[in-house]
Amino acid sequence: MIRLMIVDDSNVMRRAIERLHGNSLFTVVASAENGVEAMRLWEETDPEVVTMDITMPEMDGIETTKRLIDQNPYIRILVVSALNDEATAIEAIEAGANGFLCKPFTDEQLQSALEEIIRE
Amino acid sequence: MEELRLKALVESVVNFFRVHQHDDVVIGMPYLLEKEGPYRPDCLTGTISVHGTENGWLSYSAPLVMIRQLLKQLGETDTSAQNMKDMVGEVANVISGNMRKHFGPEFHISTPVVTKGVSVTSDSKRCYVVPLKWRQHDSSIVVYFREK
Repeated sequence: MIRLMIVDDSNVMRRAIERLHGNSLFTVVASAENGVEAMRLWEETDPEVVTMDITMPEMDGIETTKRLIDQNPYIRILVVSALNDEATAIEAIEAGANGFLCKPFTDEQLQSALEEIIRE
Repeated sequence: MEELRLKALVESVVNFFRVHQHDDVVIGMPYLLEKEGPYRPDCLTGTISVHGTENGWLSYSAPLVMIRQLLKQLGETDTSAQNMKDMVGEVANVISGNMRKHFGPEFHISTPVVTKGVSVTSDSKRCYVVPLKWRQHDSSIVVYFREK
């Protein structure tokens, strides 16, 4: 099972993503509500894949992505955000993310996006 | 309301309900808010501040009974007060964030602030209300963008 960490300031979103992966390739090892908590939980749980929101208090998703990549260049990050413009997607990829998925998304779109980034 | 702003807003709202909730929402005729409405203790409001290419705020208000339905439609079993606040904040967040496609990367949004009641205040200058109907539930978006 691939270790997944979910990072989003919305508890509803974190739980929605968690429910989608109850019986799949992934096992959710951590769930963080901001970038600061994500960095702490990364150290404790060593996730292989991360879903990352952008707009969060304390530390946003772009900064958190950069820091995670810095610590572990092999980690796979799927940015999941309501900010649906091209420039934001480019910024996420340039920060080191492996994929970008806009909210709102279907279960199938999330599953497909995660499988895509682990296939790379 | 300027046509582009309205188009961006309507597109975001329709998309949210269609994708997130697998169901269509009916958009009512937007109107200019003229006076403060009655306090609605059975509602929650999620408000997002906007700055950059547009400056102002957007809020989404819905009755608790509808928010509970939104959560259940997502497969969420926790309909606690905290989760209901989270849901309405997330709705406001997604609708606002999706407007960036129209306004560009300098359309910055805040994290949501959730309050009890409906965001209808007497100092809301030139706010527009967009009424929504989803599965017989009424909710609304109130938006204020400063004139350029």
